[in-house]
Amino acid sequence: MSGHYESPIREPLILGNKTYHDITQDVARPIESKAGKLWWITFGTALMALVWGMGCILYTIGTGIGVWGLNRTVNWAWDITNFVWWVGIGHAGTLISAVLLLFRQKWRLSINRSAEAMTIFAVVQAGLFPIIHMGRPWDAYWVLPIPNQFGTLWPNFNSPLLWDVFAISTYFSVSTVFWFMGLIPDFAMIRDRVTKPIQKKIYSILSFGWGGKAKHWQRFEELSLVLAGLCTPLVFSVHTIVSFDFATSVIKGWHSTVFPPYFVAGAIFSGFAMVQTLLGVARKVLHLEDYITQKHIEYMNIVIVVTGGMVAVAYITEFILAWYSGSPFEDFTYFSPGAATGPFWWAFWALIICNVLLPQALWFKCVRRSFFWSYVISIFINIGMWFERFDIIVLNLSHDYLPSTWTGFLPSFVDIGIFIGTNGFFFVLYLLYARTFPVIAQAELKTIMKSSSEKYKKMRDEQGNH
Amino acid sequence: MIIGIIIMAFGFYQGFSMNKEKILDFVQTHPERFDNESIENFNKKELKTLEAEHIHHLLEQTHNRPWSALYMAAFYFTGISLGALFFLGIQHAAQSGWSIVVSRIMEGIASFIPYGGALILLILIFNGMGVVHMFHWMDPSLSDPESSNYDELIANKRPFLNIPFYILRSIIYIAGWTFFMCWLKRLSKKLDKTLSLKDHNKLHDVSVVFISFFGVSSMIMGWDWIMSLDPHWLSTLFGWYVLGSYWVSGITVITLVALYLKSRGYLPFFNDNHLHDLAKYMFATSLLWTYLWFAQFLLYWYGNIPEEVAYFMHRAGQYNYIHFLMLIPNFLLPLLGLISSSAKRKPKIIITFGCIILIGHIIDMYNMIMPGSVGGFYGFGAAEIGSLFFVSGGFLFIVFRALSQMELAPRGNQLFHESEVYEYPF
Repeated sequence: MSGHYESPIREPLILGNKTYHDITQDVARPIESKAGKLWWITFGTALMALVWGMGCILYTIGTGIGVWGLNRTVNWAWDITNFVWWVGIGHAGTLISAVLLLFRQKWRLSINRSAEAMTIFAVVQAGLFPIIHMGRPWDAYWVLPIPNQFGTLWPNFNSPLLWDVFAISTYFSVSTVFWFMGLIPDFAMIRDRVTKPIQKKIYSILSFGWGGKAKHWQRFEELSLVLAGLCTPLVFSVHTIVSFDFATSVIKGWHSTVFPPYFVAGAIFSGFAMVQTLLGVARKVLHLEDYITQKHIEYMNIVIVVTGGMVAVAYITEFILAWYSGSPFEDFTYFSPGAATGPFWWAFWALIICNVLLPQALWFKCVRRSFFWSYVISIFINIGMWFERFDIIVLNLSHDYLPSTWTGFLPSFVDIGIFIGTNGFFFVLYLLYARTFPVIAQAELKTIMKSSSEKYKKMRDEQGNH
Repeated sequence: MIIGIIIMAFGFYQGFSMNKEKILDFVQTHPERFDNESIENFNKKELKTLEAEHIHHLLEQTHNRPWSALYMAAFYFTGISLGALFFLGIQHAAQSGWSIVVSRIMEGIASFIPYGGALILLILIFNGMGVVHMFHWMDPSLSDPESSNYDELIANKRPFLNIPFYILRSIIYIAGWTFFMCWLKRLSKKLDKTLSLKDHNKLHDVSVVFISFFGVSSMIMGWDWIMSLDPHWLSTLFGWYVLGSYWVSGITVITLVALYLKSRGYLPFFNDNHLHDLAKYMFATSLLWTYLWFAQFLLYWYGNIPEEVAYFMHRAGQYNYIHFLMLIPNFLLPLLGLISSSAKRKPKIIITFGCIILIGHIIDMYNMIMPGSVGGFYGFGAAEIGSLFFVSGGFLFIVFRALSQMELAPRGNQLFHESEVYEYPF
């Protein structure tokens, strides 16, 4: 029984006196019952935001990029900020699934499904921005290296923007496969429970004829490991390349080598914050209190503190070494005394407060185990990480090498509308997912039942049996 | 068992002390020999084209070589201890279960920090006193506007790069790490007796504080001890790059020491599953190092700015491309050799690749330190080999002495049993 042994000091990860069947029922309930009022209100709001955003997107495409707040100096602002923000959010899902799977962390099982779904939906939002920004989205396939005979141009392989195309599309496809593969046993569970013929048909197709045989499980485990191994470098590569965009393309001749690892850490930081935000709601609405426990919240908050700490060390480094370089231009970059006191001082301080100061509250155990406070802090981190990208782009661009071109930036209503629209789109997808997909990887969660559920822990204590 | 380890450690010590004496003699009684050789070489090649002023500087560089060699060896082994201590801190902070059976080995390896740190500090103080001139920025004439040597860039860095503050920072790092190392060791020893949950939690808390301290100090230490050898050049990633190098070396040494003790029968509870996990970390940190190497190199290559690429040009041309060649032992071979699950469970394979990684990271240290301090007068001869033998002898002596003095099974740890029965789920 060594496989089920766990030190008695470890907290249970499944609360309540749950049996295997209880887990099945708890996971299937949101799919089998009718949606509540709260779900409809949220869905309606998200849908309205989506419609508004779509309108703004159509307006942009119909009229041109001129409807955005960009100008000649700040020629890249709101759109790329949103793009990176969404890509960053899309990081935690695959990190939770892939990296925590490699580390065999049991707590991942209650949250991985939703985090992966978040990843995929966030990457969809991220992908929208470069396509809209092209101005002629029907020519979007030009970014692919297709020979010139097709009427395209051969892309510039020296540009990190092209590397992004490959990195993000690979990340998206592998994450989707990973997510879907994990869903197969759970879809099979729902297939076996639903009674209506159409639903049964749909879930049968989705579950790929899963029969729960030993052979199926063996393949499932093997594929999980291989995909996790593939996803881990992808988690790194995606944000590394996004950081190259800024390190090579924002201000000519300005780059900071800490960007790649610091962007990866920052992405995990913001991704986990978004997971907290989403699960904070899902936990209540879908009654998953026994599965997403205080311990899960605490674990996630610890990841936030660690990655937030790495980001903070990178900030300190940027600040000190910008001075150390002795270059006067460094005083115009996003991390410098010039930025803290310049025209964008508010963006600078929003970043510091949301990303560095407020998360420090998570050092206190009572805060990081509180659902309410982790929810509040997670929202601030989401805001702070948005400002981080805004600062890197807009602050740097607004003060380049030529003082006569210095200028500010104000977003237009279209900029803001598209951003709101992507938020709406994200939540529409997420809410639909919550009603039709098993939101907890129940089949895998059952594997830790004997080692980590409250019920079995109690039984072990009573029998004194290890 | 303990006596066995002491005898063994003594054997190690004896084996290496011969080299140590030999080398100390060598460095102390014949320092001129290196220099004459180098100067002769130098005379043949370039003397005529250079002005007299520069000769002084180059002379200093040739004098630097034995010191730089010693510094490199001291930093390499202190780094291994520091990497092991950082890894230990992570295990306690993460409440990790599998690794507790090897946690005493990490404690043992970390014991070298004060000794290696003292050696580094001694070299730095010699530099500060002007006995050695490895750090170009320590020359006071550089910040004197009257002097013909005046260097505006270095003069501007004076608030940070000045000798008293520099030495103070170095003392803080070494004292801080030593303090946490002793504290963690003491707590873990105490836990064996008390078995209390309170002490267990304290071990966790101390580790967390240590990691926070380490997070900041390791970054700045990288700038101070290594990056400032090239005072005009900077890279914001540098602290983490150095960390990547000594972290992978530290984990590799943990694995090799565990395998050695296992082969002598001192670690009966250490099995293939633990080896598998350690090997995974060797693999993962090798790739992490490569990632950091690549991130730093790519951005400077891409920017192609003269001040920045000078660092790499210097290393590429004059140092026979070791900057690229070291990717073979540090990235390519670990990638190919350690990727398979079954390879990670075979001691012979792990020992082979462990040695490759350790040699690869000596090259990395060499590449980081030598070009800035000895310039063209490099070599890999008696000074380097001797220093490595000298410091490694001391390192092994201290580490095995520390290991012999402790109970290798941390039975008091609440997670010890979990670690004992740990089984890797294939």
